Amino acid sequence: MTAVTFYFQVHQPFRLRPFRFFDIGEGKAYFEEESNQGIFRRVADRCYLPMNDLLLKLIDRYEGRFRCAFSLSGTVIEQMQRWYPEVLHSFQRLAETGAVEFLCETSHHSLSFLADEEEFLTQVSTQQALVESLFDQKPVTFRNTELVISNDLAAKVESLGFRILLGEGADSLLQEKSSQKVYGVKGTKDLKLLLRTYRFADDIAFRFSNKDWEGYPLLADTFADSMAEVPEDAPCLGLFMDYETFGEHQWADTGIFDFMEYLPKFLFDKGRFQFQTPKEVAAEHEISERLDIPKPVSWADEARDLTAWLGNPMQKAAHEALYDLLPRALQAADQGAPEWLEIWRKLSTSDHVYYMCTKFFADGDVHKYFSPYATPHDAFITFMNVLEDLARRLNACLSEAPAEQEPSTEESSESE
Amino acid sequence: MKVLMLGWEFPPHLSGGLGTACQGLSRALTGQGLELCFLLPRLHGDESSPGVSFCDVPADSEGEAVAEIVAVASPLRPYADRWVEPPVAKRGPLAGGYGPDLMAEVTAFADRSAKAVEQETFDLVHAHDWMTWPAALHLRRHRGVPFVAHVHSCEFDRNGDRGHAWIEACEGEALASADQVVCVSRYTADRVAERYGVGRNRLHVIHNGVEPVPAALPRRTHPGRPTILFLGRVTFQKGPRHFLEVAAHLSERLPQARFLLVGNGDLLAEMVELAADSGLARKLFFPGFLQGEELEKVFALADVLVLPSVSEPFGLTPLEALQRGVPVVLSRRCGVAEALPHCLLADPGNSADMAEKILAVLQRPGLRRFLLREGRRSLKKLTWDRAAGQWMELYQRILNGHGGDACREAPEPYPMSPS
Repeated sequence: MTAVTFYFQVHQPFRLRPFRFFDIGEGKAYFEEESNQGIFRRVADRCYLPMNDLLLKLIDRYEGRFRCAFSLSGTVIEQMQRWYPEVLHSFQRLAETGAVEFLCETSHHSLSFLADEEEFLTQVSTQQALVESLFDQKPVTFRNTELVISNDLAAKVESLGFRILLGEGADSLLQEKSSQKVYGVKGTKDLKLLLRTYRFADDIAFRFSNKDWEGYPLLADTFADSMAEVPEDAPCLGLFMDYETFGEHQWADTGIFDFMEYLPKFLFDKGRFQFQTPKEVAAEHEISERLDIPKPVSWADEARDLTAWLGNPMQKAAHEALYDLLPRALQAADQGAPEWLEIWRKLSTSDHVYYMCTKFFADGDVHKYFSPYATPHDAFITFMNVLEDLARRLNACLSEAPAEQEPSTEESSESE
Repeated sequence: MKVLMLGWEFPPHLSGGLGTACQGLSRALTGQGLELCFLLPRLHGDESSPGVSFCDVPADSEGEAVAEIVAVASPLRPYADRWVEPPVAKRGPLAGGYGPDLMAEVTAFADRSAKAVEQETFDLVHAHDWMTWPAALHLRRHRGVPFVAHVHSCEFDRNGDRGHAWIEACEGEALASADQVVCVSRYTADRVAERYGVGRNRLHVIHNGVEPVPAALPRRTHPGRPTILFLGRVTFQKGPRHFLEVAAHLSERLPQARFLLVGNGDLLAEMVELAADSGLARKLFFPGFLQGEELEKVFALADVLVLPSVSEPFGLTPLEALQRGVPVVLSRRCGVAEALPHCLLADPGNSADMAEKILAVLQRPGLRRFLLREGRRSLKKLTWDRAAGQWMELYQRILNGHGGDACREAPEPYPMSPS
């Protein structure tokens, strides 16, 4: 039997308001409550709620034989709690079926692993506690932001007690090897790595409604047929994707919900597929071989590397400037002003640097689709304005700050 | 005496300094009793200046295909080394401004200019920059009046040696045959003489004026945290790259310094990336294009204004800065420096030198006070009334049939003696 593993990533960032140079030092908020709430409610109505209902129906219809996994970023959970608790309840109902595994990630969907180990540990343990408290299960599977994996990350994740790690089945990583096996990672002991089979996952997530694609229209039965072409002895097949694929990236009228409703039936009909969550796959299969991942691999763009977030000088400068503020944000929290640390963490969400990406070819379209800015340069300018404001506020918070002097009046005698 | 002015922009619809200069000059000229009609590609309805009658090119007018300038290789004009067909005239309403249709609008403006001013009488055509010169050449032929070309900026100022061949051809043709050529600075006149072969007997210099500023905002500079300002279109001509080089130099010497690059333009994205790449991301801010109160705010914040232009025929922003108590450091290649005998100059390509000059202004209060005091003294002379007086005299002499020879005795004829 080949285990099909659906894992859905649920995430929304806190987008910045248009923060101009003249807003620096004016005590303005960074995040635009109204537009963020509007986007969240729209996505919830188009995707989260109807899709959760559909999955509940499928779990019920197949008496638990349909199973899947979720990772909800801490920021999207906060948005649910603040603006639309019904959405959170709906995920909790999924958890209650016992057919859904909830994974762990960084609380703020950040790139902290690449920048600051302490912060990474904090964000992971925060998220772990949150998932456990909301869904009543202790996460044992870890997915890093944007599915970034490496030898170092795997070792770190194992040391934190996770037993399974998810990653991208990138060509550069596998070198002709199959993505449909359970792997280990060089330098770890028992950690099991499950990979995404991008060919099938991207048929659903990216190509589903593309009328220029030769596979269009993608139907559940023919998709099941092509999945049946994978070798019979393949232990697992990872269909990892953004949850917003359903109803938001691919609108309901593309037939995406119908596709998902009927896919399990056609897969069961093949007689060789079952649905399993990551920890179930890991429990049944031993590590086939260990992969060496010296350089980070992600699930984004053609390159499957970090260049979608840290590829150009703007992204690197912004990332560096952000993490330079972390010690002061932590210090402010120690001195009784934790709100600035939480704001810092919302700025650590990877979407902010993703908006600054300048790769405009095949991948640029995807970036543009997700970005609230007209240009990547606008994204950078806005983010840096916010960081300058934050730096000043942190300075003001911390008493050691060199206070901004009063406006100079030295010249008043000179002007006529 | 009645003058027909041909212009391309007029307040409140501005893209650059040209419209501002047109307004200042028109107002002063009518104040001195001149009758003035101003033709623009398109009026928005809210242009106004006392005593000026405005007209534009009617949307439905037919052209006469009069603009026949073609760019050809010429030993006199080696820059126009490519054959460029004249652009096909745009039909229908003209938009004005500097959009993608600019060439087609320039041709249409010429083709339809005679029709547009059919009802007007005038003794002389005064045309501002290359966009209006094909029309001026046509009107001179058609109406038999003299044509004065007013040079605010040339293609080589804007684009160096990578200029547009047809624009250079427009400039070359008009400047070769204009009755008189007036440049906004000696700097520009020298270059016009050299590059377009305009004889000194037809060449004059009249500096622009600057409108007095009603009331500047109180200064809001921070001692110990100097703010260095660049203000202008973010294009090749204005030297934004030099500004970044200067910023890189200065930030080593003055770690607390902050830099503002104010403006918009085709090099903005590149400058943002360059700032990020040269370690200036946290020190260099990009407030965008500003006007009105926000522009006043950045002047109030600035400790010094830098004009690192590659080639600046005049340069209004340093005067605006001085009016508001902001000292300036200027590119050597700029016209306004002629009117500011006491100001600090540097070669725009020599960022180390420019940084030294800025440092001197920031760190030597005596020098700073001196520059501001002398700057204010110079400003007093730079009125539009003075410019209008020089123009009136020039008009009179042209109409009396003494072109340039007599004109060299005008108050500030070219070549002008340093004041």
